[in-house]
Amino acid sequence: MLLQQARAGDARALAEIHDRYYPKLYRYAFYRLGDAAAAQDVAGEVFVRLLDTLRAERPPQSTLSGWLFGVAAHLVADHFRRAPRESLEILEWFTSGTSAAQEAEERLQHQQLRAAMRQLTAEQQEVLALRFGDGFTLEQTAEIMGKSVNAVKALQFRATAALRRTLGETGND
Amino acid sequence: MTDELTEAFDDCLNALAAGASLDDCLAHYPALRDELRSLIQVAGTAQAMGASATIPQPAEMSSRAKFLAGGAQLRPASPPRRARWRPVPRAAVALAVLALVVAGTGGGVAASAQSLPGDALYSVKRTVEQTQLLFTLDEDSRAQLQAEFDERRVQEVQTVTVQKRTTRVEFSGQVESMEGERWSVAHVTVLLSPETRVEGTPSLGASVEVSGTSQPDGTVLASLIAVTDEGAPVTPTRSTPTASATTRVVPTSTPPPTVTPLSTETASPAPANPLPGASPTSTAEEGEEEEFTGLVGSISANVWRIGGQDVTITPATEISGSPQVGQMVKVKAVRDRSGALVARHIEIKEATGQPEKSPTPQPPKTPEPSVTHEADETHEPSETPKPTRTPGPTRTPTP
Repeated sequence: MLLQQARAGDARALAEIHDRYYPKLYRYAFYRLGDAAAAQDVAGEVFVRLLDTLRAERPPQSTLSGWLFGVAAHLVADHFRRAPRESLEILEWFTSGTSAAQEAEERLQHQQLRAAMRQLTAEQQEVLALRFGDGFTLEQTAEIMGKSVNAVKALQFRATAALRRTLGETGND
Repeated sequence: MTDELTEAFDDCLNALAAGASLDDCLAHYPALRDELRSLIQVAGTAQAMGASATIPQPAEMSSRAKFLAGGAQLRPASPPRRARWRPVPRAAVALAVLALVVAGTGGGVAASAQSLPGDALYSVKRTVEQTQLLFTLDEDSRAQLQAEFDERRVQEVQTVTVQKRTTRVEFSGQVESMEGERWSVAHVTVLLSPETRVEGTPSLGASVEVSGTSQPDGTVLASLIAVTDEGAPVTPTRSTPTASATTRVVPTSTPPPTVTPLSTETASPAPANPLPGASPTSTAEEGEEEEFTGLVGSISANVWRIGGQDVTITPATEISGSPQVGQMVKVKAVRDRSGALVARHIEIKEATGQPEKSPTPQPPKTPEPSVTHEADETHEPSETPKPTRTPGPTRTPTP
Protein backbone atom coordinates (compact mmCIF):
# COMPACT_ATOMS: atom_id res chain seq x y z
CA MET A 1 0.00 0.00 0.00
CA LEU A 2 2.69 2.48 1.02
CA LEU A 3 4.77 1.71 -2.04
CA GLN A 4 1.71 1.96 -4.25
CA GLN A 5 0.96 5.40 -2.87
CA ALA A 6 4.58 6.42 -3.30
CA ARG A 7 4.48 5.37 -6.94
CA ALA A 8 1.63 7.82 -7.42
CA GLY A 9 3.78 10.55 -5.90
CA ASP A 10 1.77 10.77 -2.69
CA ALA A 11 3.77 13.16 -0.51
CA ARG A 12 2.66 11.58 2.75
CA ALA A 13 3.64 8.08 1.61
CA LEU A 14 7.01 9.30 0.37
CA ALA A 15 7.61 11.14 3.63
CA GLU A 16 6.70 8.08 5.64
CA ILE A 17 9.06 5.87 3.65
CA HIS A 18 11.88 8.33 4.18
CA ASP A 19 11.16 8.83 7.87
CA ARG A 20 10.88 5.11 8.46
CA TYR A 21 13.94 3.94 6.60
CA TYR A 22 16.50 6.75 6.55
CA PRO A 23 17.65 6.21 10.16
CA LYS A 24 17.91 2.45 9.66
CA LEU A 25 19.81 2.79 6.42
CA TYR A 26 22.12 5.36 7.97
CA ARG A 27 22.85 3.11 10.96
CA TYR A 28 23.47 0.18 8.63
CA ALA A 29 25.88 2.17 6.46
CA PHE A 30 27.63 3.70 9.45
CA TYR A 31 28.10 0.27 11.01
CA ARG A 32 29.56 -1.07 7.78
CA LEU A 33 31.72 1.94 6.94
CA GLY A 34 32.52 3.63 10.25
CA ASP A 35 32.37 6.98 8.48
CA ALA A 36 29.53 9.43 9.13
CA ALA A 37 29.92 11.34 5.86
CA ALA A 38 30.04 8.18 3.78
CA ALA A 39 27.05 6.78 5.64
CA GLN A 40 25.09 9.95 4.86
CA ASP A 41 26.00 9.60 1.20
CA VAL A 42 24.86 5.99 1.13
CA ALA A 43 21.56 6.61 2.92
CA GLY A 44 20.76 9.61 0.70
CA GLU A 45 21.71 7.80 -2.49
CA VAL A 46 19.39 4.90 -1.67
CA PHE A 47 16.44 7.29 -1.84
CA VAL A 48 17.67 8.87 -5.05
CA ARG A 49 17.73 5.40 -6.59
CA LEU A 50 14.31 4.60 -5.22
CA LEU A 51 12.95 7.67 -6.99
CA ASP A 52 14.71 6.61 -10.21
CA THR A 53 13.10 3.19 -9.91
CA LEU A 54 9.66 4.62 -9.27
CA ARG A 55 10.03 7.07 -12.17
CA ALA A 56 11.05 4.26 -14.49
CA GLU A 57 7.98 2.33 -13.33
CA ARG A 58 10.21 -0.53 -12.25
CA PRO A 59 9.02 -0.87 -8.66
CA PRO A 60 10.96 -3.10 -6.28
CA GLN A 61 10.08 -6.73 -6.87
CA SER A 62 11.08 -7.76 -3.37
CA THR A 63 9.91 -6.18 -0.15
CA LEU A 64 10.62 -2.48 0.10
CA SER A 65 12.97 -3.00 3.04
CA GLY A 66 14.79 -5.79 1.20
CA TRP A 67 15.20 -3.58 -1.83
CA LEU A 68 16.41 -0.56 0.14
CA PHE A 69 18.99 -2.52 2.12
CA GLY A 70 20.03 -4.40 -1.00
CA VAL A 71 20.85 -1.09 -2.67
CA ALA A 72 22.62 0.08 0.49
CA ALA A 73 24.74 -3.10 0.50
CA HIS A 74 25.75 -2.46 -3.13
CA LEU A 75 26.65 1.14 -2.34
CA VAL A 76 28.75 0.04 0.63
CA ALA A 77 30.56 -2.47 -1.60
CA ASP A 78 31.14 0.28 -4.17
CA HIS A 79 32.54 2.48 -1.45
CA PHE A 80 34.98 -0.22 -0.36
CA ARG A 81 36.05 -0.76 -3.96
CA ARG A 82 36.67 2.95 -4.49
CA ALA A 83 38.37 3.68 -1.18
CA PRO A 84 39.37 0.37 0.37
CA ARG A 85 41.47 1.88 3.15
CA GLU A 86 39.73 5.16 3.66
CA SER A 87 37.09 3.91 6.02
CA LEU A 88 39.66 2.21 8.19
CA GLU A 89 41.30 5.53 8.85
CA ILE A 90 38.21 7.39 9.96
CA LEU A 91 36.78 6.37 13.26
CA GLU A 92 34.06 8.40 14.85
CA TRP A 93 32.71 6.08 17.43
CA PHE A 94 33.43 8.04 20.55
CA THR A 95 31.95 11.31 21.60
CA SER A 96 31.49 10.60 25.29
CA GLY A 97 33.36 12.48 27.93
CA THR A 98 35.93 9.82 28.65
CA SER A 99 39.48 10.71 29.50
CA ALA A 100 42.03 11.04 26.73
CA ALA A 101 43.75 7.79 27.77
CA GLN A 102 40.48 5.88 27.90
CA GLU A 103 39.43 7.29 24.60
CA ALA A 104 42.71 6.39 22.99
CA GLU A 105 42.41 2.84 24.28
CA GLU A 106 38.84 2.54 23.11
CA ARG A 107 39.74 3.95 19.74
CA LEU A 108 42.45 1.36 19.42
CA GLN A 109 40.06 -1.44 20.36
CA HIS A 110 37.49 -0.28 17.88
CA GLN A 111 40.09 0.17 15.21
CA GLN A 112 41.06 -3.45 15.77
CA LEU A 113 37.42 -4.50 15.73
CA ARG A 114 36.76 -2.59 12.52
CA ALA A 115 39.83 -4.11 10.90
CA ALA A 116 38.64 -7.55 12.00
CA MET A 117 35.18 -6.86 10.57
CA ARG A 118 36.70 -6.07 7.22
CA GLN A 119 38.23 -9.56 7.16
CA LEU A 120 34.76 -11.12 7.18
CA THR A 121 32.81 -11.91 4.04
CA ALA A 122 30.35 -9.29 2.81
CA GLU A 123 27.44 -11.45 3.94
CA GLN A 124 28.92 -11.89 7.39
CA GLN A 125 29.46 -8.13 7.72
CA GLU A 126 25.92 -7.55 6.52
CA VAL A 127 24.31 -9.92 9.02
CA LEU A 128 26.23 -8.33 11.91
CA ALA A 129 25.25 -4.83 10.73
CA LEU A 130 21.58 -5.77 10.47
CA ARG A 131 21.39 -7.79 13.67
CA PHE A 132 23.76 -5.88 15.94
CA GLY A 133 23.96 -2.48 14.25
CA ASP A 134 20.30 -1.97 13.37
CA GLY A 135 18.77 -4.42 15.84
CA PHE A 136 16.62 -6.23 13.29
CA THR A 137 15.09 -9.52 14.36
CA LEU A 138 16.11 -12.78 12.72
CA GLU A 139 12.93 -12.72 10.61
CA GLN A 140 13.45 -9.16 9.47
CA THR A 141 17.09 -9.85 8.69
CA ALA A 142 16.05 -12.97 6.77
CA GLU A 143 13.59 -10.99 4.69
CA ILE A 144 16.04 -8.20 3.97
CA MET A 145 18.77 -10.66 2.98
CA GLY A 146 16.44 -12.97 1.09
CA LYS A 147 17.38 -15.95 3.21
CA SER A 148 15.61 -18.33 5.55
CA VAL A 149 15.66 -17.69 9.27
CA ASN A 150 17.76 -20.79 9.85
CA ALA A 151 20.26 -19.63 7.26
CA VAL A 152 20.53 -16.25 8.98
CA LYS A 153 20.91 -17.93 12.34
CA ALA A 154 23.79 -20.00 11.00
CA LEU A 155 25.32 -17.01 9.24
CA GLN A 156 25.11 -14.95 12.43
CA PHE A 157 26.93 -17.69 14.33
CA ARG A 158 29.63 -18.10 11.68
CA ALA A 159 30.14 -14.33 11.48
CA THR A 160 30.56 -14.00 15.24
CA ALA A 161 32.90 -16.98 15.37
CA ALA A 162 34.95 -15.60 12.50
CA LEU A 163 35.13 -12.22 14.19
CA ARG A 164 36.31 -13.84 17.40
CA ARG A 165 38.91 -15.81 15.49
CA THR A 166 40.14 -12.71 13.70
CA LEU A 167 40.32 -10.78 16.93
CA GLY A 168 42.54 -13.51 18.28
CA GLU A 169 40.07 -14.76 20.82
CA THR A 170 40.23 -18.36 21.91
CA GLY A 171 37.71 -20.67 20.33
CA ASN A 172 37.33 -23.87 18.46
CA ASP A 173 34.97 -23.08 15.64
CA MET B 1 28.22 -29.79 17.64
CA THR B 2 28.12 -26.73 15.39
CA ASP B 3 24.35 -26.95 14.99
CA GLU B 4 23.95 -27.29 18.71
CA LEU B 5 26.26 -24.34 19.28
CA THR B 6 24.41 -22.26 16.67
CA GLU B 7 21.12 -22.85 18.46
CA ALA B 8 22.61 -22.32 21.89
CA PHE B 9 24.21 -19.06 20.76
CA ASP B 10 20.92 -17.77 19.40
CA ASP B 11 19.06 -18.87 22.53
CA CYS B 12 21.55 -17.01 24.69
CA LEU B 13 21.28 -13.85 22.60
CA ASN B 14 17.53 -14.00 22.99
CA ALA B 15 17.70 -14.72 26.70
CA LEU B 16 20.09 -11.83 27.25
CA ALA B 17 17.83 -9.56 25.25
CA ALA B 18 14.96 -10.63 27.48
CA GLY B 19 16.91 -9.62 30.55
CA ALA B 20 18.50 -12.89 31.66
CA SER B 21 22.02 -12.85 33.05
CA LEU B 22 24.91 -14.42 31.18
CA ASP B 23 25.39 -16.99 33.93
CA ASP B 24 21.72 -17.99 33.81
CA CYS B 25 22.01 -18.50 30.11
CA LEU B 26 25.24 -20.45 30.26
CA ALA B 27 23.81 -22.68 32.97
CA HIS B 28 21.54 -24.24 30.37
CA TYR B 29 24.52 -25.32 28.29
CA PRO B 30 27.20 -26.59 30.68
CA ALA B 31 29.07 -28.46 27.94
CA LEU B 32 29.28 -25.36 25.76
CA ARG B 33 29.82 -22.89 28.56
CA ASP B 34 33.28 -21.55 27.69
CA GLU B 35 32.64 -21.53 23.98
CA LEU B 36 29.38 -19.67 24.39
CA ARG B 37 30.84 -17.16 26.80
CA SER B 38 33.53 -16.00 24.40
CA LEU B 39 31.09 -15.85 21.48
CA ILE B 40 28.65 -13.75 23.45
CA GLN B 41 31.43 -11.41 24.52
CA VAL B 42 32.33 -10.86 20.87
CA ALA B 43 28.65 -10.34 20.02
CA GLY B 44 28.41 -7.77 22.81
CA THR B 45 31.40 -5.91 21.42
CA ALA B 46 29.85 -5.96 17.96
CA GLN B 47 26.58 -4.64 19.37
CA ALA B 48 28.31 -1.85 21.27
CA MET B 49 29.92 -0.71 18.05
CA GLY B 50 26.52 0.03 16.56
CA ALA B 51 25.27 1.92 19.59
CA SER B 52 27.29 5.04 18.82
CA ALA B 53 25.60 5.88 15.50
CA THR B 54 23.77 9.21 15.82
CA ILE B 55 21.41 10.11 13.01
CA PRO B 56 22.58 13.40 11.45
CA GLN B 57 19.45 15.57 11.43
CA PRO B 58 20.56 18.08 8.77
CA ALA B 59 21.54 15.31 6.38
CA GLU B 60 18.29 13.49 7.03
CA MET B 61 16.23 16.63 6.43
CA SER B 62 18.15 17.45 3.28
CA SER B 63 17.66 13.95 1.91
CA ARG B 64 13.97 14.10 2.84
CA ALA B 65 13.44 17.41 1.07
CA LYS B 66 15.16 16.14 -2.09
CA PHE B 67 13.18 12.91 -1.98
CA LEU B 68 9.85 14.69 -1.61
CA ALA B 69 10.65 17.23 -4.30
CA GLY B 70 11.62 14.43 -6.69
CA GLY B 71 8.54 12.48 -5.68
CA ALA B 72 6.31 15.38 -6.64
CA GLN B 73 7.24 14.69 -10.26
CA LEU B 74 5.73 11.21 -9.98
CA ARG B 75 2.22 12.58 -9.64
CA PRO B 76 0.12 12.08 -12.73
CA ALA B 77 -1.83 15.02 -14.07
CA SER B 78 -5.41 14.53 -13.04
CA PRO B 79 -8.38 15.30 -15.26
CA PRO B 80 -9.71 18.84 -15.09
CA ARG B 81 -11.96 19.41 -12.15
CA ARG B 82 -13.35 22.65 -13.37
CA ALA B 83 -12.63 25.29 -15.91
CA ARG B 84 -11.19 28.51 -14.63
CA TRP B 85 -9.61 31.18 -16.71
CA ARG B 86 -8.87 34.67 -15.72
CA PRO B 87 -7.63 37.22 -18.22
CA VAL B 88 -4.10 38.45 -17.58
CA PRO B 89 -3.23 42.12 -18.11
CA ARG B 90 -1.18 43.02 -21.18
CA ALA B 91 1.73 44.20 -19.05
CA ALA B 92 1.84 40.82 -17.36
CA VAL B 93 1.89 39.12 -20.75
CA ALA B 94 4.91 41.09 -21.82
CA LEU B 95 6.62 40.47 -18.50
CA ALA B 96 5.86 36.77 -18.62
CA VAL B 97 7.20 36.36 -22.13
CA LEU B 98 10.31 38.28 -21.19
CA ALA B 99 10.78 36.19 -18.06
CA LEU B 100 10.26 33.01 -20.03
CA VAL B 101 12.84 33.99 -22.61
CA VAL B 102 15.38 35.12 -20.03
CA ALA B 103 14.85 32.17 -17.73
CA GLY B 104 14.70 29.72 -20.60
CA THR B 105 18.06 30.74 -21.96
CA GLY B 106 19.64 30.14 -18.60
CA GLY B 107 18.05 26.77 -18.02
CA GLY B 108 16.05 28.24 -15.18
CA VAL B 109 12.76 27.00 -16.55
CA ALA B 110 13.74 23.35 -16.29
CA ALA B 111 15.24 23.91 -12.87
CA SER B 112 12.13 25.70 -11.66
CA ALA B 113 9.84 22.81 -12.53
CA GLN B 114 10.52 21.12 -9.20
CA SER B 115 10.48 24.31 -7.15
CA LEU B 116 8.02 24.80 -4.34
CA PRO B 117 6.49 27.88 -2.75
CA GLY B 118 9.25 29.78 -1.00
CA ASP B 119 11.95 28.55 -3.39
CA ALA B 120 13.93 31.10 -5.36
CA LEU B 121 12.76 29.70 -8.70
CA TYR B 122 9.12 29.36 -7.76
CA SER B 123 8.18 32.69 -9.33
CA VAL B 124 9.76 31.49 -12.59
CA LYS B 125 7.62 28.39 -12.46
CA ARG B 126 4.44 30.41 -11.96
CA THR B 127 5.38 32.85 -14.71
CA VAL B 128 5.99 30.01 -17.13
CA GLU B 129 2.58 28.62 -16.29
CA GLN B 130 0.92 31.97 -16.90
CA THR B 131 2.71 32.23 -20.21
CA GLN B 132 1.61 28.75 -21.20
CA LEU B 133 -1.96 29.76 -20.49
CA LEU B 134 -1.58 32.94 -22.51
CA PHE B 135 -0.42 31.06 -25.56
CA THR B 136 -3.05 28.34 -25.30
CA LEU B 137 -5.84 29.70 -27.45
CA ASP B 138 -8.23 26.77 -27.49
CA GLU B 139 -10.64 27.27 -24.63
CA ASP B 140 -10.93 23.60 -23.68
CA SER B 141 -7.18 23.09 -23.72
CA ARG B 142 -6.73 26.19 -21.65
CA ALA B 143 -9.28 25.02 -19.12
CA GLN B 144 -7.53 21.68 -18.90
CA LEU B 145 -4.18 23.38 -18.44
CA GLN B 146 -5.60 25.58 -15.71
CA ALA B 147 -6.98 22.53 -13.97
CA GLU B 148 -3.56 20.88 -14.12
CA PHE B 149 -1.99 23.94 -12.58
CA ASP B 150 -4.67 23.97 -9.88
CA GLU B 151 -3.84 20.38 -9.08
CA ARG B 152 -0.16 21.25 -9.02
CA ARG B 153 -0.85 23.99 -6.46
CA VAL B 154 -2.56 21.48 -4.17
CA GLN B 155 0.34 19.06 -4.49
CA GLU B 156 2.79 21.83 -3.71
CA VAL B 157 0.88 22.79 -0.59
CA GLN B 158 0.70 19.16 0.52
CA THR B 159 4.44 18.87 0.02
CA VAL B 160 5.37 22.04 1.90
CA THR B 161 3.07 21.10 4.75
CA VAL B 162 4.64 17.66 4.96
CA GLN B 163 8.03 19.35 4.94
CA LYS B 164 6.77 21.66 7.71
CA ARG B 165 7.85 24.76 5.81
CA THR B 166 6.49 28.19 6.63
CA THR B 167 5.81 29.99 3.37
CA ARG B 168 3.13 31.77 1.39
CA VAL B 169 0.87 29.37 -0.50
CA GLU B 170 -2.13 29.55 -2.80
CA PHE B 171 -4.32 26.71 -3.85
CA SER B 172 -7.88 25.88 -4.69
CA GLY B 173 -10.12 22.93 -3.98
CA GLN B 174 -13.36 21.80 -2.50
CA VAL B 175 -14.36 22.40 1.08
CA GLU B 176 -14.44 18.97 2.67
CA SER B 177 -15.18 19.90 6.24
CA MET B 178 -15.79 23.02 8.30
CA GLU B 179 -15.29 22.62 11.99
CA GLY B 180 -15.22 25.97 13.64
CA GLU B 181 -12.04 27.65 12.53
CA ARG B 182 -10.53 24.43 11.26
CA TRP B 183 -11.52 23.52 7.72
CA SER B 184 -10.32 20.94 5.27
CA VAL B 185 -9.85 22.02 1.64
CA ALA B 186 -8.41 19.55 -0.87
CA HIS B 187 -7.16 17.40 2.04
CA VAL B 188 -5.26 20.38 3.45
CA THR B 189 -6.14 21.57 6.94
CA VAL B 190 -6.91 25.27 6.75
CA LEU B 191 -7.09 27.44 9.85
CA LEU B 192 -9.15 30.61 9.98
CA SER B 193 -8.23 33.55 12.17
CA PRO B 194 -9.95 36.88 12.84
CA GLU B 195 -7.75 38.30 10.07
CA THR B 196 -8.96 35.78 7.50
CA ARG B 197 -10.98 37.47 4.73
CA VAL B 198 -13.82 35.29 3.44
CA GLU B 199 -15.32 36.18 0.07
CA GLY B 200 -18.66 34.63 -0.80
CA THR B 201 -20.45 32.05 1.29
CA PRO B 202 -18.38 28.91 1.59
CA SER B 203 -20.20 25.68 2.30
CA LEU B 204 -19.37 22.01 2.19
CA GLY B 205 -18.63 21.00 -1.39
CA ALA B 206 -18.02 24.54 -2.58
CA SER B 207 -14.90 25.29 -4.60
CA VAL B 208 -12.71 27.90 -2.99
CA GLU B 209 -9.37 29.56 -3.51
CA VAL B 210 -7.20 29.73 -0.43
CA SER B 211 -4.29 32.09 0.15
CA GLY B 212 -2.31 31.83 3.32
CA THR B 213 0.83 30.68 5.04
CA SER B 214 1.82 27.09 5.64
CA GLN B 215 2.57 26.39 9.28
CA PRO B 216 5.12 24.10 10.93
CA ASP B 217 2.29 21.91 12.22
CA GLY B 218 1.27 21.02 8.67
CA THR B 219 -1.72 23.37 8.45
CA VAL B 220 -2.29 26.49 6.37
CA LEU B 221 -3.28 29.71 8.14
CA ALA B 222 -5.61 31.38 5.66
CA SER B 223 -5.51 35.06 4.88
CA LEU B 224 -8.13 34.77 2.14
CA ILE B 225 -10.77 32.22 1.26
CA ALA B 226 -12.73 33.06 -1.86
CA VAL B 227 -15.62 31.02 -3.21
CA THR B 228 -15.27 30.31 -6.93
CA ASP B 229 -18.10 27.82 -7.26
CA GLU B 230 -20.92 27.32 -4.79
CA GLY B 231 -20.91 23.63 -5.64
CA ALA B 232 -23.67 21.11 -5.17
CA PRO B 233 -26.17 21.55 -2.40
CA VAL B 234 -25.32 19.98 0.89
CA THR B 235 -27.14 16.90 2.08
CA PRO B 236 -30.46 18.19 3.36
CA THR B 237 -30.23 16.41 6.68
CA ARG B 238 -27.26 18.49 7.67
CA SER B 239 -27.12 22.18 8.37
CA THR B 240 -24.98 24.24 6.04
CA PRO B 241 -22.12 26.02 7.68
CA THR B 242 -21.39 29.55 6.65
CA ALA B 243 -18.37 31.72 6.38
CA SER B 244 -18.92 32.97 9.88
CA ALA B 245 -17.57 29.62 10.92
CA THR B 246 -19.77 29.43 13.95
CA THR B 247 -21.49 26.17 13.11
CA ARG B 248 -19.72 23.07 14.18
CA VAL B 249 -20.41 20.62 11.38
CA VAL B 250 -18.13 17.70 11.85
CA PRO B 251 -16.94 16.65 15.25
CA THR B 252 -13.37 15.43 15.33
CA SER B 253 -10.91 14.32 17.93
CA THR B 254 -8.90 17.48 17.44
CA PRO B 255 -9.70 20.49 19.58
CA PRO B 256 -10.44 23.64 17.64
CA PRO B 257 -7.82 26.37 17.51
CA THR B 258 -8.18 29.25 19.89
CA VAL B 259 -7.59 32.13 17.53
CA THR B 260 -11.29 32.93 17.24
CA PRO B 261 -14.25 32.45 19.53
CA LEU B 262 -15.44 28.91 19.87
CA SER B 263 -18.57 27.73 18.19
CA THR B 264 -21.78 29.03 19.53
CA GLU B 265 -23.73 25.88 18.83
CA THR B 266 -23.56 22.49 20.42
CA ALA B 267 -21.66 19.94 18.41
CA SER B 268 -23.96 18.04 16.14
CA PRO B 269 -24.09 14.26 16.35
CA ALA B 270 -21.38 12.45 14.49
CA PRO B 271 -22.46 11.94 10.92
CA ALA B 272 -22.13 8.47 9.53
CA ASN B 273 -20.37 9.83 6.53
CA PRO B 274 -18.41 12.84 7.56
CA LEU B 275 -16.14 13.23 4.53
CA PRO B 276 -17.33 15.44 1.79
CA GLY B 277 -19.95 13.11 1.12
CA ALA B 278 -21.68 16.37 1.05
CA SER B 279 -20.27 16.88 -2.38
CA PRO B 280 -21.48 14.56 -5.11
CA THR B 281 -18.53 15.60 -7.26
CA SER B 282 -16.10 14.60 -4.63
CA THR B 283 -17.85 11.33 -3.96
CA ALA B 284 -17.67 10.43 -7.60
CA GLU B 285 -13.92 10.82 -7.53
CA GLU B 286 -13.54 8.48 -4.59
CA GLY B 287 -13.79 4.72 -4.48
CA GLU B 288 -16.34 2.64 -2.64
CA GLU B 289 -16.30 2.82 1.10
CA GLU B 290 -14.13 0.11 2.58
CA GLU B 291 -14.58 -1.38 6.01
CA PHE B 292 -11.98 -3.38 7.87
CA THR B 293 -10.68 -4.09 11.33
CA GLY B 294 -7.08 -4.16 12.45
CA LEU B 295 -4.67 -3.37 15.20
CA VAL B 296 -3.45 0.18 15.52
CA GLY B 297 0.25 0.00 14.74
CA SER B 298 1.10 3.67 15.06
CA ILE B 299 -0.61 7.00 15.49
CA SER B 300 0.65 10.26 14.08
CA ALA B 301 -1.03 13.55 13.29
CA ASN B 302 -2.27 12.71 9.82
CA VAL B 303 -1.59 9.04 9.21
CA TRP B 304 -2.34 6.05 11.37
CA ARG B 305 -1.12 2.56 10.60
CA ILE B 306 -3.99 0.14 11.09
CA GLY B 307 -3.88 -3.52 10.23
CA GLY B 308 -0.74 -2.98 8.19
CA GLN B 309 -2.30 -0.20 6.14
CA ASP B 310 -1.65 3.52 6.25
CA VAL B 311 -4.87 5.37 6.93
CA THR B 312 -5.07 9.11 6.41
CA ILE B 313 -6.84 11.06 9.14
CA THR B 314 -8.53 14.29 8.14
CA PRO B 315 -10.43 16.78 10.23
CA ALA B 316 -13.55 15.08 8.93
CA THR B 317 -12.59 11.70 10.32
CA GLU B 318 -14.94 10.67 13.07
CA ILE B 319 -13.09 8.91 15.86
CA SER B 320 -15.14 7.15 18.52
CA GLY B 321 -13.31 6.88 21.81
CA SER B 322 -9.57 7.23 22.11
CA PRO B 323 -7.94 4.38 20.22
CA GLN B 324 -4.42 3.57 21.35
CA VAL B 325 -1.55 1.77 19.67
CA GLY B 326 -2.14 -1.95 19.98
CA GLN B 327 -5.93 -1.70 20.14
CA MET B 328 -8.22 -3.35 17.62
CA VAL B 329 -10.34 -0.85 15.72
CA LYS B 330 -12.97 -0.90 13.01
CA VAL B 331 -12.35 1.47 10.13
CA LYS B 332 -14.62 2.85 7.44
CA ALA B 333 -12.62 4.56 4.74
CA VAL B 334 -12.53 5.55 1.09
CA ARG B 335 -9.69 5.93 -1.34
CA ASP B 336 -8.95 9.38 -2.63
CA ARG B 337 -7.62 10.22 -6.08
CA SER B 338 -4.03 9.46 -5.10
CA GLY B 339 -5.03 6.03 -3.79
CA ALA B 340 -4.64 7.02 -0.17
CA LEU B 341 -7.05 5.41 2.25
CA VAL B 342 -8.90 8.24 3.96
CA ALA B 343 -10.71 7.32 7.15
CA ARG B 344 -14.30 8.36 7.60
CA HIS B 345 -14.93 6.58 10.84
CA ILE B 346 -12.74 4.77 13.36
CA GLU B 347 -14.04 3.06 16.42
CA ILE B 348 -12.54 0.77 19.01
CA LYS B 349 -13.57 -2.80 18.48
CA GLU B 350 -13.91 -5.08 21.44
CA ALA B 351 -11.22 -7.75 21.47
CA THR B 352 -12.51 -10.97 20.00
CA GLY B 353 -9.74 -13.08 21.38
CA GLN B 354 -7.59 -13.45 18.30
CA PRO B 355 -5.80 -10.33 17.33
CA GLU B 356 -3.59 -10.20 14.27
CA LYS B 357 -0.15 -11.44 15.11
CA SER B 358 3.21 -10.18 14.16
CA PRO B 359 5.68 -12.87 13.13
CA THR B 360 7.94 -11.82 15.97
CA PRO B 361 7.39 -10.01 19.20
CA GLN B 362 7.79 -6.27 18.70
CA PRO B 363 8.72 -3.55 21.14
CA PRO B 364 5.63 -2.23 22.88
CA LYS B 365 6.07 1.29 21.52
CA THR B 366 5.77 0.19 17.91
CA PRO B 367 3.77 -3.01 17.58
CA GLU B 368 3.40 -4.27 14.04
CA PRO B 369 -0.26 -4.92 13.49
CA SER B 370 -0.33 -7.32 10.64
CA VAL B 371 1.25 -10.57 9.62
CA THR B 372 0.69 -9.77 5.97
CA HIS B 373 3.96 -9.35 4.16
CA GLU B 374 3.29 -6.49 1.86
CA ALA B 375 6.02 -4.90 -0.11
CA ASP B 376 6.08 -2.00 2.25
CA GLU B 377 5.73 -3.80 5.53
CA THR B 378 7.19 -2.03 8.51
CA HIS B 379 10.28 -3.55 10.00
CA GLU B 380 10.70 -1.83 13.26
CA PRO B 381 13.97 -3.03 14.70
CA SER B 382 14.08 -4.03 18.28
CA GLU B 383 16.78 -2.80 20.57
CA THR B 384 18.20 -6.26 20.75
CA PRO B 385 17.68 -9.48 18.85
CA LYS B 386 14.36 -11.16 19.55
CA PRO B 387 13.64 -14.81 20.09
CA THR B 388 12.39 -16.86 17.20
CA ARG B 389 11.87 -20.38 16.02
CA THR B 390 9.81 -19.54 13.00
CA PRO B 391 11.13 -20.29 9.55
CA GLY B 392 11.22 -17.08 7.60
CA PRO B 393 10.44 -16.05 4.06
CA THR B 394 12.98 -16.74 1.38
CA ARG B 395 12.20 -14.02 -1.13
CA THR B 396 15.24 -12.64 -2.81
CA PRO B 397 15.59 -8.91 -3.15
CA THR B 398 16.46 -7.74 -6.63
CA PRO B 399 17.43 -4.13 -6.32
